[in-house]
Amino acid sequence: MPAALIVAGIACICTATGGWGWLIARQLRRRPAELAAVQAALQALRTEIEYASTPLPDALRRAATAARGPAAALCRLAARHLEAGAGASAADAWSVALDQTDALSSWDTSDLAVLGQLGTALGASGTADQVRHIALCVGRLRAAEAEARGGAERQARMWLYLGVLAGAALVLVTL
Amino acid sequence: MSTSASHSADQGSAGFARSRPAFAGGVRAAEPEAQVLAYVGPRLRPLLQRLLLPGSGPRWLEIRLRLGRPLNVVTEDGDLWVGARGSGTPEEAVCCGSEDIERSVQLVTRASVYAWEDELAQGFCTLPGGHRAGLCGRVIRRGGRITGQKAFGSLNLRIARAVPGAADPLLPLLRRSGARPLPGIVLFGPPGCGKTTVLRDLCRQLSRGRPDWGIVPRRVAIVDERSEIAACVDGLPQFDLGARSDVIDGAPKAEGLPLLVRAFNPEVVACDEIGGPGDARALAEVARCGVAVLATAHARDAADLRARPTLRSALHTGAFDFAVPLRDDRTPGAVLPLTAHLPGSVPLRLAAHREGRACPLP
Repeated sequence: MPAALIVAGIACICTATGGWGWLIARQLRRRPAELAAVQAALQALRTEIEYASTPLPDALRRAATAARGPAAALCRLAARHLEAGAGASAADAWSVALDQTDALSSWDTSDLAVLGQLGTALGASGTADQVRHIALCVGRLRAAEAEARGGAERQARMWLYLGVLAGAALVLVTL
Repeated sequence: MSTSASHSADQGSAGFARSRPAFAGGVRAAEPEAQVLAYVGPRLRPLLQRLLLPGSGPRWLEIRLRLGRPLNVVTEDGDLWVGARGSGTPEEAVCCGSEDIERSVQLVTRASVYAWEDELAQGFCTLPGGHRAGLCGRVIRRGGRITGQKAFGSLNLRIARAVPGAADPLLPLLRRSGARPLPGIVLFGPPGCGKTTVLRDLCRQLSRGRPDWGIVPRRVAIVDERSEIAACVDGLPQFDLGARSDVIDGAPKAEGLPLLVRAFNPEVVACDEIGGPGDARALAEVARCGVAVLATAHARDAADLRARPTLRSALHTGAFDFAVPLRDDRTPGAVLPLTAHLPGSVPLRLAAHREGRACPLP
């Protein structure tokens, strides 16, 4: 087998595993910022509900402007589903929007579970209850963010190295 | 229909045509029935849409959804029972399921129970276009009073229409008033006879003025406690009330009346369903300021009006010069026919004094 082909093969393997490690590292680095963004959106949603009694579709649209990235997309999509005219409940609209946003976000399964739990209560009760549910959700997301910030950089670096080293190990085994 | 055509018809006393569109904030709106269909759940909506032939057939008054019972449309010609193949007998009609009601409630409340807490406690929500959704289910009571509802079993979508010219029979009372203060008028009658519709049209006509009757335009302030007169949505009146009207929405009359007199310097104030605690005091205060009062009251007849202590005290504040009964029955020799049939009454007649005056204050 020509040496050039072998080198190309090694490069391909290392790039693939290195890229895999880099993707995971990027997710880990993004997660705290995205958790902060979704908290900002939920705080804006709480303000709209508590002080202005803004109906949920409008409140979600305004909350979307207070955040960026997947948090904004989540609010915007939920508002769109609510306004589709099918009489979807807020829980259904939030759940569908969460599924659609999942691919764009760096939230892990525990974050999605917290957000999903909020969806079941959204819009279905009085102002005081809504505020309580949102505050609870924000509190849990804040704890998750603090935890993620603590270990994010260390874990991201580990996954970067792991990706490259996994590629090297695979090359050695193959050769 | 052009705007100018609508305007001229509004100014005159022409009857209400089937195809005449309602006004929503001065913009021509779609057929009221079509507006209300948007609040019916997606399974039942196409069935109703099939029955709705634009510009023909009887006008729809209500769409009623009752859990486990047939889908019902109340028209001015009677009940329609809606089935998969059109209208028929109640046995042939489609039954409303819990999901139909639940989805309709979600559409009415925009999936936001918290935004309608007070309205749900009272059992109705005002919708864009001035329509109303009546809701009843299992009430939630706290501290001995109803604070909300859940598990809805019935939904009544009431279709609202402005009736331009409905107040025309009252214009003789206001004729050639010029710049002088207007008389105070209380309209009374049983529920559903069109008191609010007439009051709304009276506000519109006074706000615009009627030069043909020697009535100059007036500043009209409206206390819309139940959001029925103007049906404001986000501050925008859903009915045409003329250019010189101001509305305080959802305010109790006892608080809203003095507020409007202080802040808006009105020549006329209008409010619906007087007779609550504190109303008499507020009305007396308004009357002392030289502001004319237009109001409605629930009462079967003049004797009933007299018999209710809260109404009686409100009527003797000096705020009213005329009490005008609105009745479904015909009173021989003493009726002025309204120029339009109002929803919910077939036919409605405005009973008045033989000389064209309203009956004297009881």
